This record gives sequence, structure tokens and C-alpha cells, in this order.
Amino acid sequence: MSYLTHITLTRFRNYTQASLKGLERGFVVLSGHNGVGKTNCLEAVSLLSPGRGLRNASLDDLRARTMDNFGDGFGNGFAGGAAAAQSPDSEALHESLGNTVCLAAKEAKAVHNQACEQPAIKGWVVLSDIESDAGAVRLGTGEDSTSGKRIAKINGERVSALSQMADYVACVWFTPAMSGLFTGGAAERRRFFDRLVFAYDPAHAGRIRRYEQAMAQRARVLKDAHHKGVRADATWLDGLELSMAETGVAIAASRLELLSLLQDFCAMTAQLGFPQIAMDLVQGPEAMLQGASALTVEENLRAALSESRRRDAIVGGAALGAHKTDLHVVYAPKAMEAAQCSTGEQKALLMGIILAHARFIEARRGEMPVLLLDEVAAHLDPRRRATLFDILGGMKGQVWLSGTEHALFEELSGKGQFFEVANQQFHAL
Amino acid sequence: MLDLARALEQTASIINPCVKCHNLTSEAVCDICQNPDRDRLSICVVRDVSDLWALERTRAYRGLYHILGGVLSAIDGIGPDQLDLAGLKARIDEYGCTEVILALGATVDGQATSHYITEMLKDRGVSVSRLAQGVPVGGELDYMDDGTLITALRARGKMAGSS
Repeated sequence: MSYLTHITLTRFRNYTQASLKGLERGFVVLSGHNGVGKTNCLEAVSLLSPGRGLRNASLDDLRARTMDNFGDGFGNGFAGGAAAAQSPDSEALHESLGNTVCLAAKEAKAVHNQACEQPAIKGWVVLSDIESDAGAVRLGTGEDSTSGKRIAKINGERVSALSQMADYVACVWFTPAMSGLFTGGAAERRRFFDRLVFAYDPAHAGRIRRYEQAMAQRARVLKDAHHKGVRADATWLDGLELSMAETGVAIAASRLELLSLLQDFCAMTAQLGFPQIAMDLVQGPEAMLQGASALTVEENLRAALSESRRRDAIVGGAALGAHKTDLHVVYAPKAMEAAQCSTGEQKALLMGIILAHARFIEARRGEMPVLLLDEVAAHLDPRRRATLFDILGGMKGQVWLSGTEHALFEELSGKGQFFEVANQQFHAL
Repeated sequence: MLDLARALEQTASIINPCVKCHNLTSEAVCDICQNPDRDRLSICVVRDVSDLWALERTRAYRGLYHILGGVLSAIDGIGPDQLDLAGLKARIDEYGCTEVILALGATVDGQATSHYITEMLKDRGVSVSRLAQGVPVGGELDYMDDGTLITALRARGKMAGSS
């Protein structure tokens, strides 16, 4: 079981620097008014797993907008302004991240900053201590102030790929923005399902990235040729379509595997009071894979992509492939499409999938993922809320909950840790 | 600092790309291309000079190199015309090469370039291979992801001594 024992946010969204310490497994409840930064904190936790976090945000969005005094994020040059030298937390943070800093350098930078009357180039940092069956590990992620890219460090050592963080912690989340998942576009549902796949098969993210790169390159080759009024280089396109077909089939196979494995856990969650769910993957190569070998599907996809070049040159993108897959969800007892269900039912269906997935990951990895549930209690009726808390309480992992009203979580009293978020800090209740 | 700047300036003024393979050299033709002990029937195609040096460090390859100067990337504006593919064909014909090794990395762009060159050389009667991908030295199959295992299975090689 892995859970966070500490997290520090530095220059992250509305936080200049704030820490939560002494965290335990069980419930971690954040309450406070709208806009104080509860979701920002959950987002910071979500960034300890690879990907763009629970808001799918860009690096720029994650950066604090306020003037601050806490050094250079992950930069390897100077590591701090005047306040950094005075802040034990910031000091520990940067040392833990492997920055070798000498006081003279910091003082020099402070003088430089004062002289220039400008802040140093600053990046955001999220640092956390994780406790797991394998022992304690310190994970850090943030923006490299030199390259402007997001990087990760494990026990102070920079790692070559963000996906390596997935070996230590998996996060699964629910946010109010996901309430419209079933009524929105297929892309959002596909991304949601891919995140579920990724939590159990970290290589899935690499396959998706590779597929999207090949698709983007193919689209550019077609577009450039179309604009110039010349015939696109067929040999170049053949190579890119080969990559799309090979990777697309691997992506589809991973999705199908998870879908099959998840069914039993959905049935178990239904027995606990959440709706019985029937799920399928449609519109993509998954259906083809159920009736033919992977090599046959690859060949068929290549041929179909080759056929669609003329159309894709005009319309853009690609007419078919793993990027077209949609997650089809049905409320089984009513045989009703999720999109036709009531708002409350949709939320219950989504929570059912998330809970089933969490239990599946626990069974598969022997460790519960960290659950991040933003404003989850708000729109559930008291019966379902009680059921949800019962299920979550029985999971033995770490569950982060947020809400504006502390009263919504009163029945969790004695079962977790409670914090009020105010003035960009966390206050234990 | 001034000594360093002068040294850099002097180096920059005498270093130029080899007219044959585009390796960096202080002469018109680099040491590798001039070396009579190198196997002229084999050319290893790499993306840039750093890849050439990485392979040279292994001392496992005794043929010639050809630096493309990049890989195909429509997004970066690098098409077939921006790579020295004509030079590669000319050298294959000049030396009568029997083998071309594509060492272009396992990225999407590297693979698209490998595919492009393979197609380009299809009718030249030359054997085209690429670096193996899959199980790393010391790797346990248990720990491999499916993609790596599938690639390794596809690129499997015969054991020495087997029929």
C-alpha cells in the first residue's frame, strides 16, 4: 500500500509554499471556501503520477502567478533568493531534489535579484514523501527552470522519464468537471479510460504518445502536400502509417485487456450499492481485435489509413484508428445509456467505475492507488454518500476528499485527518 | 576565459564536415573514411555525429558511416530533401556496398526514416538491417512491457551454431 506522508507545494498555482505533514493512510479531508486552493492541492498530488494531472493542465497553467521568493525550482544553477536561505522547508526541498547549493551562491543570487529588482526565473515544484511496502521514497516533480520542461526526481536523482514515478504511486481521481463525461465528447471518455489503463500498465502512456506523434507527423505531411498542390510522399506516409498501425493495435489490446479484467470488479462494486455497469469500447480497432489476429488488424489498419489519405489531407487528422475509440457505458439494470441517465445516476456510474478500478489495482499491484475525489460528496444523496464512505473506508488506501462544507464529512470523524485550506496554507482541524 | 574563447575560435575555423560521411574532421576526409582497414562494403547510417561517436566507442563496428544530418520530421520541416540520401546512394554505388545498417533510434521519426531508406534501397541489391530492439543486456522477461517483448520477438535472432 502506498500513501503520501508529506507534500510540499512551491510556486504551484495559488501556493507560494505550503506543506502537509504527518499524513497517514485513510481519509485526508480538505475543506474551505471556493477558490482557496483545495483542487490545486489534489492536482499537485495527481502530478506525482505521470501525465498532466487531474486538470490536464499545461506547465504554464501550473506556475504560480504571484511574485515569490523561493528560488529556482528544479534549476541546477543558483538555487535561491534571500528568503530561500532563511526558509528551512525550502532548503530541505532543494537539497532533497539534489541541487548542490552553496550559501555564497545563494547570497550572490540574492544580491543579483535585489540589484536587478526582478525575480529569478522560477518553476513550480511538488515534493512528496511516499510510504509503500517497498519502503519510503521521496518523489519530486516540477518545471526545470533551464529547459522549461517538466522533470521528475526520485530520492533526489533525476529520472529520464516521468513514467518511472508510476513505480511508486498510482493516482485515480474524480473531479466535478468529469460529471459531464458521458454527455461530452468521445475524446474525454477515451482519455479517462486510457488513464485507467495507464494506472495498471505504465507503458500504455508511451504507446499513446508514440501513436499521437506518428499521427501528427502524417497529418503534417498530408497537409503540406495539400497546400503545395503536390502529391504527398507515399513512402514517408507508409512508414508513419506502419507506426500508427503497430502502436494502435498495441493500445487497443491493452484497453481490451483492462476492460475484460475490470468487469468482475464492476460486479463487486455493484453488490456494494453502486450501479451495475456494462462497458464496451466502440468506434476503434478494439472490435476488430476480438475477431482477428493482431497482425491481420495491423495490416487492415495500414490499408485503411492508406485509403483515407485523400480525405485526411483535406479534413485533417486520421479517419480511423485508436484515437477514435469511445467508451460506451450502460446502466445495466435499466439497460439505459449513461448519457440518458440522471445527473446523480451518471455520477454514481462514474464513481462505480473509479471504485472498481481502484479495487482492481489493489488486487493487481497489491497496493491501492491514491484516490483524489474533488467535491465528490456534494451531489450524492445521503444514502449513496454513506455507501461511498463505507466503501472508501474499507479500501485501506489513502483517500483525499475535498469540499466546501466540513459538515459533509462529519461521519468520517475519527477515521481520517481534516484540514482547512485558507490563506494559501493548510490548518489542521 | 580569453584563452578558451581563442581555442574555440581556432577549433571552429579548422573543423568541417567530412565530404564523404559528414563526420567532423580537420581535413577534407575524416580518419574513418581514410582508414584502409575499415570495411568499405558496409555502411552504418546514423542521425548525427554524437550517434557515430557512441557506436565508435563500442569498437564493435569496423565499417564506414553515413551521417544523415537528422531524421524525417514533417513537424520540424525536415523532409527527404533535407537529409543526405543522395550522398548515401552515391556512396553505396561507389563502394559496391553489400550491407547498410540503419542505426536511427526507435523513435517514430527514426523508424519512419528507416522505412524510407529501406524502400529507397529496395532495388539496389543491398542488404538493409537495423539495430535490434527489445530485451536489454541483463534484462528479465518478467519485467519487460508487452511492447518491448513483442518487438524483441519480432527481431529474434538465430543462435550461433543452430541450423
